[in-house]
Amino acid sequence: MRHRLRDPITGLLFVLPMLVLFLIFRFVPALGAAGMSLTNWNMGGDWSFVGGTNYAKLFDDPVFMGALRVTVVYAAIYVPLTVLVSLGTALLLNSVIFMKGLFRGMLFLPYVTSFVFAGVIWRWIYDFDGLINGLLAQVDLGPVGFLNDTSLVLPSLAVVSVWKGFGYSMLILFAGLKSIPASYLEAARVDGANAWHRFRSIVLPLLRPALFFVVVIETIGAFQTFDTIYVMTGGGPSRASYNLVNALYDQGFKNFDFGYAATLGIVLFFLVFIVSMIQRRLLDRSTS
Amino acid sequence: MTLTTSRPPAVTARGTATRPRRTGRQWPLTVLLALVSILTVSPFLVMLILALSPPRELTVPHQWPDSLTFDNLIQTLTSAGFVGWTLNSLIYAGVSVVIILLTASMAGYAFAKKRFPGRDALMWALLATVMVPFQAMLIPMFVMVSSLDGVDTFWGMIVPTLANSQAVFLMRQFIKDLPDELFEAAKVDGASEWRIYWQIVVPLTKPILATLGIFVFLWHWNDFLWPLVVAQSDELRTLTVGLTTLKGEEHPLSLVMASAVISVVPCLLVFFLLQRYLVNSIAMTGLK
Amino acid sequence: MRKVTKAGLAAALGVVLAGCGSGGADSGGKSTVTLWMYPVIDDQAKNKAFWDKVEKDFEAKNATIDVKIDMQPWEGRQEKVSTALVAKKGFDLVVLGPDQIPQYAKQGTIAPVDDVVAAAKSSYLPNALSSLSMDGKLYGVPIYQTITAPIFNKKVFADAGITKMPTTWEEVKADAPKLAAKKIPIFMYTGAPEVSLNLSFYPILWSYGGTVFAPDGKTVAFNGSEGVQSLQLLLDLQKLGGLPANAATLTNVVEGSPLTQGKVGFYHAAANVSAMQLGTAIGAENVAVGLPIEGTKRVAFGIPGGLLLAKHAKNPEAAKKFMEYIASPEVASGLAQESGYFPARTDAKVSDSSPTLAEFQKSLEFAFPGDAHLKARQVMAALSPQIQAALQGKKDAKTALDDAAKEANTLLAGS
Repeated sequence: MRHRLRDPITGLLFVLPMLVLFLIFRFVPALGAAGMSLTNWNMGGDWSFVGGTNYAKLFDDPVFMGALRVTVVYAAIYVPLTVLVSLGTALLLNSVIFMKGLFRGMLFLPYVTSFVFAGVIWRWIYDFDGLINGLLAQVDLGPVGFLNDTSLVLPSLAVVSVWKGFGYSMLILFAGLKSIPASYLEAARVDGANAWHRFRSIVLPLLRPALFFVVVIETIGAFQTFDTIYVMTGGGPSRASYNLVNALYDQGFKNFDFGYAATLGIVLFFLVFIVSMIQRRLLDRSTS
Repeated sequence: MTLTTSRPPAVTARGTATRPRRTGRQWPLTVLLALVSILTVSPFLVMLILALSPPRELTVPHQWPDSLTFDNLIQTLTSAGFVGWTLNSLIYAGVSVVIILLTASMAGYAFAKKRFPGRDALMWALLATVMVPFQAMLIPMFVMVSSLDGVDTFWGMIVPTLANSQAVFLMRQFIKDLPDELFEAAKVDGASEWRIYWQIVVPLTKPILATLGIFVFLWHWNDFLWPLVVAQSDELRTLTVGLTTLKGEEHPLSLVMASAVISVVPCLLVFFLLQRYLVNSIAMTGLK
Repeated sequence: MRKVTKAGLAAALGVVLAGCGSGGADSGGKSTVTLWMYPVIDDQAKNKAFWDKVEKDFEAKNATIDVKIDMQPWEGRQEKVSTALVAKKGFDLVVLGPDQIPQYAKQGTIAPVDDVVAAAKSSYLPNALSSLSMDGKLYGVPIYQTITAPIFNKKVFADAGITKMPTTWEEVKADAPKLAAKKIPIFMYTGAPEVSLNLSFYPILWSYGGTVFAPDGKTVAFNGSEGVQSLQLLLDLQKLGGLPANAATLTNVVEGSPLTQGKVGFYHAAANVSAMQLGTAIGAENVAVGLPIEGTKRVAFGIPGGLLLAKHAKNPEAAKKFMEYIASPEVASGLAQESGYFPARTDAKVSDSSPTLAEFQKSLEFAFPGDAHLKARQVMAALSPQIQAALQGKKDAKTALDDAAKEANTLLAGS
């Protein structure tokens, strides 16, 4: 009997420190935000419960509908792109021996830098007389308005975010690759499996926990992208890159309509939560 | 898995035994990696030149500056608050790294290997809290800290950031991979739960702990909004926040970039210090 | 279950919204006053020296008051001030522009300060006082005044054979083709949504006699004939090659802009810092500062910096004393001297001002702080994207403004 209880008790004890932190500094504030979405609080002393009014408002708000679309489209572009890039670079790092420490540091560098810098440099790269259009002009093409065109702005921003952020997922996938015993691969090689085969049947399955982590975290990040957009386009042109967090920020800290801002936050939460649960079903099957 | 897990005697995780066979494929991959790395890093040369350009003169990326100067860097390094801000940042980031590594790996271990009721639901509840955008949580979190009298204190700045579900999730994903037989064997030997955690889990997850350590340090070092609002007075100000208090409304870009260069340096130091641990992977122990 | 959920939410909300107001305790019989100042003096060393001296001088005269001046970053200003007001912690005094005053005043998080200026009311610029007021009460003591004016790159005009800088929008239109012939757009319009319309579209609207809001403030008026004329001007200029290709998404950061690269003729709403920046980039001899460009009249956007008193201040009387001191002629003239802004009162004199500054000073008589309205910013957020759409050829001037007006009027009706 004592032995059977050992697991649950120690498990809870090991989780306890984190759990207490979460209770006080995440769950209660999150409930507070949820509560706020049912009020008309504007930072002043007076506020009252307004029930679902804020939620009903969503349906008549064209700005919200646009922001919702931008959020989803952006995530659909960004997540696959960043997962591919970080997986590709992690695989490269894992198979190259020469100066790999240096290369790893170089590839990680963008993750370390500030958004202000990323904004300055990428605005120039995308500019009408910037780097890319300069190159295009050499072959009599362009100019292309990467940040000016309502249909190009989201892919363009996604590329900036990928450049800025892929180092993170790359390191995690790299750690995942490192924890695959070389003996497995060696054995497969002896058995005559080619590189693609080894990747499909050994690397990918064993990388699954790390890959799942990366997909979930990058998805959450994509839905909450703020800095890149704020610095690069401010949500323009014509709100073509204005996402839910942009809307939330404006409603809260510019208009002081914290009730409606919290509503947008809660909507975004459910959106991300549902997507994560779908990803869990699809990707985490082997481990659950 | 149909593959044999027996290990050829000469093979290590670094793949030394396989090197001769792979050299033929090494060069193209190395060249590719080098190209990608240089491409990724090239914007930083622009940043460096910007930081070394005389303020407000026309410079890169539009044209080469007429001269270079260290004045911007010196001006930033010698600003009145610099030493104090750096120390505050080191405390903010350092304390957080130590506590998060400990609590997150403990919790991650329990979520991965211990059986207790509601385990997975709890894990996802923790993860769900990052799905509420921070902009919506800012005011509730701030008021929470304020009602515990934590505004303008170190603990008020640090403790709420310790509730980090990404860290827990990451540790869980990697600990899950460790073979169960290890823990069974230790239990049979009569090892206490704490000893199992400290002497098996921690050493075996060193690469991922190092990765996480780098991330937690970076997140805190570059964090802006939270330390900005919680540390209200100058005594507790961190470097990222402090450097922005030097910025006038139309601040010369060269000075902004000088600040950016200076705050990147410690991040790179931490990265290169910790990155040697990334290599010592679980695979090397040959336990799998 | 629903009941439990509701009770839980209410409890959490109670914790979260209750706030609490401790701290700021008096130390040793002294009253403490905390001022959140922003780096209005561009040179960090001068900035620090100036405010250290203000603190010392004031404390020497007022032994019972302990003053603390905390320099805050411009970035994240909104979040920091808001969180402090919600939790009733942090500053007693803070510097803000007129556009935030209506909202904070309505919330009741800031206190009226009419008595601070009462003694010298006539010496303040009337515009500065009125723009910091709401419903007849003054909520900010003006401590400096900013002004904008057009800045020109004389060289590109000269290259196109023009020696007299345009002073009206008609002249701008007439000169546009000459510069366009040299592949130089004449006018740097900055349509990025993060640029305040006060520095892009509104000055043109005002110069044609238009207003953003109807007199009663219940609807917008920017889609009237003056508004259409203003936007049409931009579209006409665009057709003449008079706007940069990326005008719709350009920001007004002068450094590194087409202006400093010598690729555009002029910018109509620059601060004097921008003029100096332009001078460093293209040579001071190539920079001209003009009077506000005339449509039917001259209007220059310019706002006062206001010192606000938090409602939660522990020692309002001590805080008001300090406000009075900062707004006094000697501190105000010192601040103007160092910052390159102008004093907000006529009895504060600036001894030696640079030639550029003297040019900017001429625009001061046309200063207009923007249309004060509780929802001024939301209206901007509704209008900017529509102007972008017009500049990208997706809508004509009238349609774009009408669409924006429809959205803005819904916003105004909602409050």
